[in-house]
Amino acid sequence: MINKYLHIIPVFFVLVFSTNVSGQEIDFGDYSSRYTISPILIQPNLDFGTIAQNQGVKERNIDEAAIIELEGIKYLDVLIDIEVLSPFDTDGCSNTNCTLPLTLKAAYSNFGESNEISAQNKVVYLGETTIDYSQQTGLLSAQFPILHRTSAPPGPPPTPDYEGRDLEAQKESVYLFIYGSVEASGLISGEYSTNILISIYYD
Amino acid sequence: MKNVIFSVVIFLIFSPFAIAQSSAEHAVSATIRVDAVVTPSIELITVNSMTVGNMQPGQREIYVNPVNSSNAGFMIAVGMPDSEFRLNYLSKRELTQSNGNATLTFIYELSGNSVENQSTSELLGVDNRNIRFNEEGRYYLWVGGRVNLENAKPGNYEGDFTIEIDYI
Repeated sequence: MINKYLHIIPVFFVLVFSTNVSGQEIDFGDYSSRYTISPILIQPNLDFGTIAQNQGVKERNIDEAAIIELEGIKYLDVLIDIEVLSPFDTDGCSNTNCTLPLTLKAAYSNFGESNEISAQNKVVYLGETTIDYSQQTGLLSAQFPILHRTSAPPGPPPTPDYEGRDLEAQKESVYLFIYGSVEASGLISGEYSTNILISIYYD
Repeated sequence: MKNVIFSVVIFLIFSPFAIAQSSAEHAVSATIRVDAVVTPSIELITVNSMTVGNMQPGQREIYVNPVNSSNAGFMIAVGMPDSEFRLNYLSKRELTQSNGNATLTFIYELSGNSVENQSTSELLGVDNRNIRFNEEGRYYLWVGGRVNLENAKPGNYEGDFTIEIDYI
């Protein structure tokens, strides 16, 4: 009977120590329901326009990107997941000759710019991914503060939220740019579409 | 006692996931629509090649006006009706002597029209956007240009003309 407990106790200690390591992070976003994020679709479409059946790669650069403005609490971090919901295909067809290969790129600007035009010139490249429709994968994720922190030593922790606090003064905008490329090779003609879901939440 | 230890172990395994879920539960989302229209490929049909006609003795330059010369080359671009396209061409090309090493530099000029009428066609720069196929999916092009013959050696010269058309 004692031998059985001796096997269980080492497992228990490993789990206790691993929990202590992740416990050092404070997720401020969990502690106030007033910490909201407002996404505003400034340019809600990523339109690749007309493309010939065998045209090859067609790019949409950042100046032609879909744009979302995120208004949130400037000292909090946000987590972003960008996900293509379904194959980029034409209605009623799901073969390879009616599915457009899509490479998704994203960038954000969290430097306190006042509009998307100026923000476009000061961005952090978030990455790119070619969507694998057969595996239903292709996700871009990132974590960054609503307002970029300078490289100076860290200041004191932010003031926790309390009743009566004016949170409007703590708000700032991040601009998120979504763009990329498609590659047409032997496709059937038609109108192609899909949707990209962007999920945003505080850390 | 055994059950208590198992319960603690199970709690510790699942508790980090429970914390992560609580942040994601407050997620907001936005949806972006992605669109493209795939069309039949663009075709470029050469109806007439450019000719320069007979040259006069002492003639220093050949000029074929794409807007009004009957020597201009004539091409038809065929694509998706009413869609916009981008048109680029190389204006400066070298012509090479068929039976020798001499070269001549030809400066191409191009004019275009959405109706088949050369005299009302407009000169096109080397990089054009916002040109549109007509409702029948056609756009008409005339090719001309000029070449300086001052130091040219007698002979036949050949060259090509490069034009690129893509949907916008």
